[in-house]
Amino acid sequence: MKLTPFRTPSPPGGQRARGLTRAAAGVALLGLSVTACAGGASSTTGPSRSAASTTLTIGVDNGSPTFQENFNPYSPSQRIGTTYMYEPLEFVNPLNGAYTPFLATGHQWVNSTTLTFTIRSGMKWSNGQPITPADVVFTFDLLKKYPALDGAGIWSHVTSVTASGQVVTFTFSSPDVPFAQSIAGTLILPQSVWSKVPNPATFTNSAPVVSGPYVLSSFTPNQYVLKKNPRCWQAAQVAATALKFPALTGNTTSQLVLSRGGYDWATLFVPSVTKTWVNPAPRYHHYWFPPGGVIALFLNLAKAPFNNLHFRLGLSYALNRGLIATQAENGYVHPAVQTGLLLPNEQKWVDAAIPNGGLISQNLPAAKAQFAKAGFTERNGKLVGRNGQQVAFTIILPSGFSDWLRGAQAILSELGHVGIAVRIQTPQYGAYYSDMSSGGYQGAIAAYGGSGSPAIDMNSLLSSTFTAPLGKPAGSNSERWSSPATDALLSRLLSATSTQAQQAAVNALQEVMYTRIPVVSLWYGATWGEYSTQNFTGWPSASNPYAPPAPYGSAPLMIVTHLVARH
Amino acid sequence: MRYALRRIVLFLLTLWAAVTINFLIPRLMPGSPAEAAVGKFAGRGPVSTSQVRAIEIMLGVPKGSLWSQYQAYLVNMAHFRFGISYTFFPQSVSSLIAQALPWTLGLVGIMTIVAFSVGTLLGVLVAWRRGRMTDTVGTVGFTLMSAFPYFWTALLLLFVCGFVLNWFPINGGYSAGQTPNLSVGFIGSAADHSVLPAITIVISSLGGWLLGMRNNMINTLAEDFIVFAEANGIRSRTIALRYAARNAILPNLTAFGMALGMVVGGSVLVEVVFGYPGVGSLLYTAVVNEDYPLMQALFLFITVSVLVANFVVDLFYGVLDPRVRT
Repeated sequence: MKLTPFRTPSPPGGQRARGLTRAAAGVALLGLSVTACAGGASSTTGPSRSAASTTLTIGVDNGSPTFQENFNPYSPSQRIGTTYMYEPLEFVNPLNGAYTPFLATGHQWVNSTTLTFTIRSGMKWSNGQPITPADVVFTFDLLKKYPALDGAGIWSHVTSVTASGQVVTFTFSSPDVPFAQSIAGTLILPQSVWSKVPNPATFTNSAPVVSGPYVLSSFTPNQYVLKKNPRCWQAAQVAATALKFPALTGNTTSQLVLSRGGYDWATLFVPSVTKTWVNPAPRYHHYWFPPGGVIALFLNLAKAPFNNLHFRLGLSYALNRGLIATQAENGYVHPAVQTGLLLPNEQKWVDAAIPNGGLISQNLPAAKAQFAKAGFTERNGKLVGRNGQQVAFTIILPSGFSDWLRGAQAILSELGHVGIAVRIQTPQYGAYYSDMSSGGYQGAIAAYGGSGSPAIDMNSLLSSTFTAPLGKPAGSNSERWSSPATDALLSRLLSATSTQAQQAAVNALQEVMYTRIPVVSLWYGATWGEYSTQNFTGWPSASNPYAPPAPYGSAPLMIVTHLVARH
Repeated sequence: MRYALRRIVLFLLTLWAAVTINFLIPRLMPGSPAEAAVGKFAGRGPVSTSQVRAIEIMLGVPKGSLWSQYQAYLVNMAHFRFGISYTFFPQSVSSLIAQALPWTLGLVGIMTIVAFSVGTLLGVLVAWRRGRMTDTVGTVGFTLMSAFPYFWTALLLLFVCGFVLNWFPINGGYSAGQTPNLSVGFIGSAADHSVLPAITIVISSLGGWLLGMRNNMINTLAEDFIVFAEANGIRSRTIALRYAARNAILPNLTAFGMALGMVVGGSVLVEVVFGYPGVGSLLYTAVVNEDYPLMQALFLFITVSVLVANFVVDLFYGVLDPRVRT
């Protein structure tokens, strides 16, 4: 029932940067409402909602099929509403890596292993207690004491966290500048409450004391409601007085509810979004599906023939990425460039020396030439190796990911044209994951990137730290790219604090991605976001991408503080 | 007595086998529960190794040899300790089942009884009028209906009666914002929400009961004692219901006993399509997320209730039909 919306990472992600975006948001707001009015002449009102409503109904939390109460921001089974209540030090925009200050006013690298955050003063928790740097230190110490909470791996990078005045200092074991993003994104807890919790890993937190824009108002097994937190330090920016989270019970019914206008904000993959969502109320109903990651064909580089560069180049030339993208995602997304960047989000990092922005178009003669160099020849429409056997391999992807499956089917037919026999298997996610991790696979559809930082994305994809020999569990580098030259580039990138040095290293890494094909990038996995401007404007959009349009993860805090009520 | 004893020994043996298989099967599934739990987040982007590690620590994924796990498992089962669900961490499995069970018993249980009663009665009717219009239309019609795939009927009803005509709510067990209690408002809402799933279950299972009963009836109606009764001028209705049906219902009754045992497992597809908060939905969630503790407890419940239902039917049969006692 999981129709893989590919979504941006949900873990306590970053958050950040404020004063500057406000003005920008105002401008974009105007733009948005102007286009909205121009769009539909006669008004069509969304069914069954009063125009003056200041409640947002958000279709995001899956009940499976009813809710269990859990507002612990460090629990994997937390209710999604939790991310509307707890705040990080800074928000990091997963689209472009931009920081917006939240509980901290900013951060600074003292040297490449010492990072300081300045905590905003005068803030209060929802129970009236002051928010202090001691709460920040307490939160990080809690993650150290309970490794089960440390999903971001903070304490594998950091050796100490101390506070002095309003400044909190983090000491790193080795230089890793982009990791500031994970620290900035850590959700801060009130010490007065959590120091009394016997086991924070199993705590379900039914009366959350929070710093963020909303507090829990009511909870029932198929709907919970959050109400505005008047004590929030940025309460003045919060327009919606209440947020309603009804339980979603499956794709089919959720799409029907959406097409009735039952949600103000949702994150659903719908086969024909214009027809089902926009057309019922074209003035108000909008969507934005920005890239949230790269969907790629991972080839097991520890196995033949994938260890042959010319074979990989041939594969890459044989694919029509535009067609694959259209077939997989109903034409909602663009084909991905081969440089590892997410465009247009990461436009500023593009290496101008790489032709066509890094997009590789289908070129069958070039593919055949590369296959020939790799030692494969075409015979009776089949690509055969020196042993006379046809080239054949299996692509795995998790069962239920129907969009990835359609993409894989397009690959199967395109590689069929160059004489390669592809088989597709769809194991359960657990089996898929362990196959990728242990290297038992040949080809796989998988996602990478989407943190907003090319350094983080490329480091986890290409660093030999995250790989392992066949049969041993590898981390994120499951394609098993292992190159001392790449490792050297990555360590230069991780310790670079100047934009110039970062750009130089990112350029060199784009070159590696583009010419050596560690993975074959295919298309951009979208962050699905459907929203209604009937009661609130100021949503993120392509022209004002201050956050992805996702009602989960780190984005909601940004969005609920940017919405403006329509009068 | 010897008959009953034999049944009891057999029952215990089957129970042990079922419990053991129940232990083994989830562990034969590829991938670990932490990896599967991570699958929930994978739809949202790449998953880091530190996330998998954190989840493993949190769930306390079973370590140690299979044998020691098995011993611990048997002890826990004997004490009805089913552990903590991985998916709904940190909820206990028992509390999850306790929440879901009433919904399934109410919906699937009642509808099984309804489908059985109505189907059997219709079976008697069409068999009595065999070869005539009622028979042709009834038999063909209901066979056709029960040949529809379950979930397809469910989706069709959902779309037409729920979405297009807007007669009934399209998902959930009750309206958003309500808390389960015994108030009139809540019960009304629950009833309203159960109409479409209920119709689906009845439509798809009615045909089976009808056909079974019809075929048994037709055999019985050919027996000499029926001809004798007719010759004596007994009223048709009396013959059909009091003489023929009572004999013909035996095989259907066995099937009914088993069907009642299966009720506990819920009606997975129907519950999933309608997002009904019963055991079927829970089972689906457990399997998809490789939630061993929840899966084991649910399979155990289902197996045990089927075994018990079988056992009761066996004993009952011994009373009804002296021939099986030998």
